[in-house]
Amino acid sequence: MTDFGMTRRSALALLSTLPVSFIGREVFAQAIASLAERAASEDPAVWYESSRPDQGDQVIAAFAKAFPKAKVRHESIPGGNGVAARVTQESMAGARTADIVTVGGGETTQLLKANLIAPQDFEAYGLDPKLVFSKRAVHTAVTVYCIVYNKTLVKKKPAGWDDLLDPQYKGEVGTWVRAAALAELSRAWGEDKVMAYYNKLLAQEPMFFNSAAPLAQSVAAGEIALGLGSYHNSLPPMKKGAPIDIVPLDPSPMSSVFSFVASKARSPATAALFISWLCSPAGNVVYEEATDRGTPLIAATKTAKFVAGLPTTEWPLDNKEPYAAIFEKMNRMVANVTVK
Amino acid sequence: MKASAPATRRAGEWAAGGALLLVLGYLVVLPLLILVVAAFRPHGFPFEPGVTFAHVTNAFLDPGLPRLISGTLTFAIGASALAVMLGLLLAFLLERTDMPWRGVWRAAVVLPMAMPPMLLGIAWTLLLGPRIGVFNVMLSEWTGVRGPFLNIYSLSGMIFVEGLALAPSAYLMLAAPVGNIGSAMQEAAAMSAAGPLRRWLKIDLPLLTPAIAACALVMFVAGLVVFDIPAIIGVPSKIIVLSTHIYGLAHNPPESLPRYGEIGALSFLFIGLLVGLVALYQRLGARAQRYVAITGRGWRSSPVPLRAWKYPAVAFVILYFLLTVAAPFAALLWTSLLPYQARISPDLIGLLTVSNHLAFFGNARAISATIHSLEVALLAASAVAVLAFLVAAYVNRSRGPGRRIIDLLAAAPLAIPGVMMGMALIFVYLTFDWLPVYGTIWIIVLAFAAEYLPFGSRAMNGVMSQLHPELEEAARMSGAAPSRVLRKILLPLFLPAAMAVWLWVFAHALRALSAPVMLQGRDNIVLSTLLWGYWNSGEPTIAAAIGIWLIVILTLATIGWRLASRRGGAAHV
Repeated sequence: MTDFGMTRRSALALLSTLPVSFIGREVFAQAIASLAERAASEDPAVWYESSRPDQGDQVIAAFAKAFPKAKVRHESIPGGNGVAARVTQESMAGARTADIVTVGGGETTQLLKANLIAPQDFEAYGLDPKLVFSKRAVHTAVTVYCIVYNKTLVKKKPAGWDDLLDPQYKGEVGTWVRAAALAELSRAWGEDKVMAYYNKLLAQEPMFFNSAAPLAQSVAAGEIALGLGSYHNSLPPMKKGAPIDIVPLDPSPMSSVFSFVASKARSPATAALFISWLCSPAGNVVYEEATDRGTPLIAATKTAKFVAGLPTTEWPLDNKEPYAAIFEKMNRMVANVTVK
Repeated sequence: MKASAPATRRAGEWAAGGALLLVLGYLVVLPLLILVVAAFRPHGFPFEPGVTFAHVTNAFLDPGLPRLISGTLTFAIGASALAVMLGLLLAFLLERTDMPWRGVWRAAVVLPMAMPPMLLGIAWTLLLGPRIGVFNVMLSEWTGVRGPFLNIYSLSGMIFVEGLALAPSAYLMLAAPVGNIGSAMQEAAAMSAAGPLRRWLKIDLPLLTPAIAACALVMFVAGLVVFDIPAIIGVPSKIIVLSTHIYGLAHNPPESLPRYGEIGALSFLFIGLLVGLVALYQRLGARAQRYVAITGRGWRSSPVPLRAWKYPAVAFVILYFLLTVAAPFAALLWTSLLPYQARISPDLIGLLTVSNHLAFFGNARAISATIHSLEVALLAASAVAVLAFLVAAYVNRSRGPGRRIIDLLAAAPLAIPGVMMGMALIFVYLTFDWLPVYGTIWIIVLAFAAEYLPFGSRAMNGVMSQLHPELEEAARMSGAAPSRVLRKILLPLFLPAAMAVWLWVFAHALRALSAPVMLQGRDNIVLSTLLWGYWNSGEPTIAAAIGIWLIVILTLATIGWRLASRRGGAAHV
């Protein structure tokens, strides 16, 4: 068996779930096999992403099984904006930076503006066109905001947004200090309605958290009864048996995460190959298993099943300015909360 | 030849001053310059084109700034006052009295330094959380009244925990000066029928003024820039201080890129404050000659007998140990044995598991992070101890040029929050790539060397101001060579302080988060960044298990250090 044969088989396996004809699959497989051949002669590609190192290792190990000759190194950098800042700093200084970047929509927009994202014909590698934004960024995952509640403390399962404003939970509600969920919600509700809602939520004297992960843990511990959390951050304590559950919202705000090849990439073929794999059904399922977040645009993911049938809302990648403006106003509202 | 000795000495001092300026310039001035430039760049990136004053105006015309400053000052003053009081009392009991089991307590009182402040904060939320805090639950059950009785999520809660977190540092800074107080004056005063309080106020306190001022200054500024405890305890109840505000600018900006420009502008505030504090410190230092405790004339120190007071003294140290180590450690251990975060309750004993601890040992990343942490801590502690000694010796004992500037530069990193130091160092070492430290543990060592130098040099200055130069002068007059003076006089006197500085930096470097998190790459992950990763991704129980093993490592290091210091003849701390 030749190396090329193995690469081609990996490529076909990667494409096996695509709803395209046999001939179409063959064309994509050849494109990926050719990409893999080029990747084999490149240095290891560096992937900047915010998951933990062990989660990154899990993803890289699966990729290495599919494409043993292409090497990728995961670099864990806390926070999407930390990743974007690092890429910007390194690029400005002319230093070695990431080849592959995975960040949120806001950061993607900023890096697009700074010309730090390389164009790439991902569709030629068999990626579903609805995943690809402007031949540059590929939809990789979402943060879906939802209610997380403690089943012991909340007797009646919450139904939706109004439950967070229920006076009986005053002082026992939690929210992420970053008002991303409500800023995304403003696309569906409009600014006035969202601002009015946020004012009422602040009147509930909520506990604020630096991330939705400790929020879910505080709900599990019983320090707060319920909170505006996120699906993937609530899963770890739920999987371990914590007495919590999640309730989808109507509408459900989401924040998308994208992957792309950095314009200063030194291993562009490896980067394109990795993203093509990561955002394929096979790769995205692995990514979701490792990080609990996947893209709802791939039916095989649990995230797709969770989101199925839900009315979702999110500011699109090419129109993030209103999101940023409302986010800024909410930051100011939080800053003016009087501490008792 | 004899006539040229002063000239040779002068040339030596010039060379030493120049070398120190060079090192400090590289470690301190360059990153500070980066911050200043960042404040005037459109997106806060020093190398981008364009100039703007928007960040400065945004930062300083923010209507919330006065409230932010007053909240920060209240927190820093409260926490530093508590830490200095606890540190001073502990130093007095353990270094100046005949309290029983002093050796045991000396080792025990520095153990809280092993606990990352983030985990200390988490532990206290489990102990004093309004709904799940074990004390509140117990009080509710005993009284039948629904609490909360004590709420950790408050300004006083933040001050309490931060004060406890800083207390071991205050003790280490004050132990050597307190131990160096000679007992002759005390005994003379006692013979003049002066009571203990009067003797304390008239003798000990004035003698300790420079050391207490140095300690208070360092604790105060540490309180100004500390992030972990305000983030864990303050943020949930919207008590925002400057450090959490800066974190918000870096991590929760609406535009999705950190507001480095505004952060750079805010650093002016720290720098201005620092200049004022250092001026105050230098003024105190100038008066320090009046408070010299160890001279060449018959210095001796004998323990103060506690008599009946030894029981309350032991009770106080046990209470301190319970609050800073035992109770938080128990809460942390409890968390580390659970599959998910939960209140402390006998109902949950069935859930206890050692899987988080087994995972720690089975995780290759955790092992490499432990090795990196130890390497970084060892190198940073050694670098700071040596540099702090050289800075203090030059500033206090030489007549070389630029002493004030060197003193100021050694204190300046206090003004740089860790997150900003991290950002500045990324730019410095991306630009000066002839020193290939970017992405390695060495960049973290350099960050810590700069970050902790102020603590080291302030501590050394405090001790140096208590030692009269006549000891060295007498030795020189007796014909001792400078190397012999250093070996036989200065080193034995400074060794306890140098070792205290070393231990302090070692412990803090093991647990520090803000600079390593900015400088983190694949090949320089340390325990604190690993721990932060687990905490941030919703795995506090694994983070707690890592914290437990951090404490174990530091406990072993402390025991080793105690044994080494006994063999080396170090008298104090």
